[in-house]
Amino acid sequence: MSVRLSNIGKRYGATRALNGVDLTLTGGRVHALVGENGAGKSTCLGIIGGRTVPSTGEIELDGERVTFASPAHAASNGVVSIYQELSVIPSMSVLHNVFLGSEPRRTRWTDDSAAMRTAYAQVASRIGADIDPDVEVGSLSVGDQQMVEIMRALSRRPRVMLMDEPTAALGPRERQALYGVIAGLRDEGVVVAFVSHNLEEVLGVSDDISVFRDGELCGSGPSDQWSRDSLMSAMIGHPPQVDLRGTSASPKPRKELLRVDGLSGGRVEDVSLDVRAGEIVGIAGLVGSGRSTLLRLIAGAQRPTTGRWQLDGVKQPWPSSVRSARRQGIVYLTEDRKAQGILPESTTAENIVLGRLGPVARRGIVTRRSVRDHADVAGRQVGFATTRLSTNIGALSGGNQQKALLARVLHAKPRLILADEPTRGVDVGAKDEISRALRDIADRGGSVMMVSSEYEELAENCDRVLVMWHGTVVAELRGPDIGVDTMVKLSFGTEGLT
Amino acid sequence: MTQVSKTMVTRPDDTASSRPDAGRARSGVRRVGEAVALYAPVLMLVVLVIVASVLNDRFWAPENLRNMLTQNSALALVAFGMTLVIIAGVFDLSVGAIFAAGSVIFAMLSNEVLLLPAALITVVVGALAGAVNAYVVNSLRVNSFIGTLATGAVFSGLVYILCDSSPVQARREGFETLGLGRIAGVPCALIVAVAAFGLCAALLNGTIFGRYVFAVGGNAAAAHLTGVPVRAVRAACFVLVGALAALGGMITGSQLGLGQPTLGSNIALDAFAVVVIGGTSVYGGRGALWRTASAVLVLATLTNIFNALAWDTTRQSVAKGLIIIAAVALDAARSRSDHA
Ligand SMILES: Nc1ncnc2c1ncn2[C@@H]1O[C@H](COP(=O)(O)OP(=O)(O)OP(=O)(O)O)[C@@H](O)[C@H]1O
Ligand SMILES: [Mg+2]
Repeated sequence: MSVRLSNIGKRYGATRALNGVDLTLTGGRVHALVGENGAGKSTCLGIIGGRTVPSTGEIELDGERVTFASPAHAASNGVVSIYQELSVIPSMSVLHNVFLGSEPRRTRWTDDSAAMRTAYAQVASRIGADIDPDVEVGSLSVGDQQMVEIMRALSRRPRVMLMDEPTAALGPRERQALYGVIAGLRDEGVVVAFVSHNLEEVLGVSDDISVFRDGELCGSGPSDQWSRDSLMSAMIGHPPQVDLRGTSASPKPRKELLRVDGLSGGRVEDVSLDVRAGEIVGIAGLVGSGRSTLLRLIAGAQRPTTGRWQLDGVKQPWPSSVRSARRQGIVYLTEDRKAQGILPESTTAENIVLGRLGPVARRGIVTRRSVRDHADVAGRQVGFATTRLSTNIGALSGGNQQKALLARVLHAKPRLILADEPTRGVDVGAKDEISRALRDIADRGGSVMMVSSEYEELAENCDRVLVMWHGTVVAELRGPDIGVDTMVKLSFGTEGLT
Repeated sequence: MTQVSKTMVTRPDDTASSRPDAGRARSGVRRVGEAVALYAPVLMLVVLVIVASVLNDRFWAPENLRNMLTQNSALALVAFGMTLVIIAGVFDLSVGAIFAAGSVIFAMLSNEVLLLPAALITVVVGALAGAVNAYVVNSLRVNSFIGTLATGAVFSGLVYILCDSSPVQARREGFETLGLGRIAGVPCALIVAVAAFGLCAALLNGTIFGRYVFAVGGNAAAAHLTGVPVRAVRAACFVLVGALAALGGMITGSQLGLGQPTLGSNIALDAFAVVVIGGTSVYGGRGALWRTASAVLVLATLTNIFNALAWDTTRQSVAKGLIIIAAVALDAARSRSDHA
């Protein structure tokens, strides 16, 4: 099995998303695609998978020229994709989502529900998922929705499996299971291509690595010939600068900003915590441990059943909505950027300043220029390319959309940022810039609470980490105690210290 | 970035530890609430039937029941088709025009040819009108709301031209059988409505096509990426509702003994009301046919009550409008709590 791309290019108006790419993917090898945000990785997979029509070039499958008119057409040729953005149907059950478009049939018109359940049990055990096939997908966490998507792809018996950032939404355990599945596919001779911004993952999982930069393939070779540094230089086009950021000094005791007691609601049960001014608090835990719910409760996006709220030492009623939390300077960044974050038909600049138009307007009038200027200031802080501000945000690559949303949060000048997976899908360079921006905020007395499935990120950024398990906080780590391995162990609840 | 760790790939696979809730059973209160929402049309029906029995001592008389069902069969047909269309995430506002076309074309044709071929041709014309809607929405990429509003205007205009803006008297013997006849005491119109219910329910719940209807309405982009033939599914829904609307128009025309171009001015709103009262989400992706059927009975009983109270149609219209608003608001509240 092999896939060969020759001279593949894609233009969107004036944008060259991909240019003259020649690439061969071989069965029995895992091929990683890396590159900065907007480098063209998703476009490349989209072209192979029938989602995107290339402007130039051709694709050969096992030496035979193919042009796929749609994802369905590609799938019928054994080319199956997992997309960067979730593409599940929230109102349908897990079972029906997994087999949508490829249901085992009893007759031409009806499906075979017994066969479907058997097949579900098989694919679920293959990936180690324990998800009730009969619940609605919309009620699952983003991580579990991603698992549904992976099961859907696997159940189609792919000959070519294209995975765009499949691990970005997964917790440590699910990631591990996915690596196992990838190895299994490779041993079966399947062509596996995947995109990831996690270079350790890329180096550990793949056999070959191709680096994209500005729509061009700028390097390709077996993984053992790459190192983290050589990948970085290839991605950004010059050697990476040495990171001058010192490790943050041990946090000085600062004033308490927010205190929450006896908070319950949704998956969260009886959590108490405090956040101090100038502090970055991380929240670790597995998918489904209640991390996101905790942020949503504090953000006013979800009603708690019980909970006491104390801001600046003053007892107050729990904020009844996102708006009322925002009025107190608490700003929330969603983990589901496509469904709950972006306004795809507005420009990136408009998306960024949305939410705090006060300073943008002059005598009540919002001009394009002032929108741009304000967006520019916020965008710079997270490494967003100024030239893309007037593009519709829907046309940006996934990682660049994420940066824009972060800029939106910063533009709101929050006292407390509640960020759910703030760097999901963001390239390595931008990750650093975002880390720095968050640290800046903390240094100026603001506070951050962040959920991340990448524990390295928590270890690097946080002054304190709360580990959640089954809706409760089971441990609190400070300064030097914050270690990746400790967090992993605690996340599994095997060392419930409290 | 100083500490290069390999933990991502070397973490132990701890499958032994118990897994946090993947989709934990909802709390009891919530489940009761959901059950109430699910069976709301049935509960409403029970309440209204009780009210009607009290207000109208002839409510349970076979003649009254038969009339109620006969008069609402045409509406039921349109509403069943509309349920599929709305679950698929689109609207069809042209059903009123197709309905009128059904009555006019059926009457005209039956004056020329036998009833059965006349009926079949009329249904096919309805289906073709649906195909036109599908073309406008799918291929011209016009929003279905606007698109079918416009095609409705076109269809309606054509009907007026066809019949020269005046009612078409049906002359063939047996023309009224479809609307008023009975087989073994059961109204023909009711038989047709029940058959349509069976057909639509079987399609929606028993077939892969039905699953696709839900998928397309739930998230069309995702459905496309997953390999669902989104356009074909929508087209089938438009064709189906077109055929059913024409059939509905035939039934009403047959009851009146003529083809009437002004018919159906309210049918789109009424069908929409019924679908929404039945709890089918106007956002697409959710709904059930049996609930639409219960809602038809709700509306029928309501009309019966209004008549017992001797309310005129203007007051009935106000009441119906308010009920629709309440039903849509309920739907909105439910989907808001989904997003909370
Ligand atoms: N539908 C579209 N319309 C216009 N431009 C687009 C569209 N889709 C992608 N682009 C542009 O093509 C370029 C490549 O995007 P692509 O999504 O392939 O990047 P990527 O490498 O996957 O980035 P990321 O890591 O952020 O996901 C970007 O400049 C993007 O803005
Ligand atoms: Mg991408």
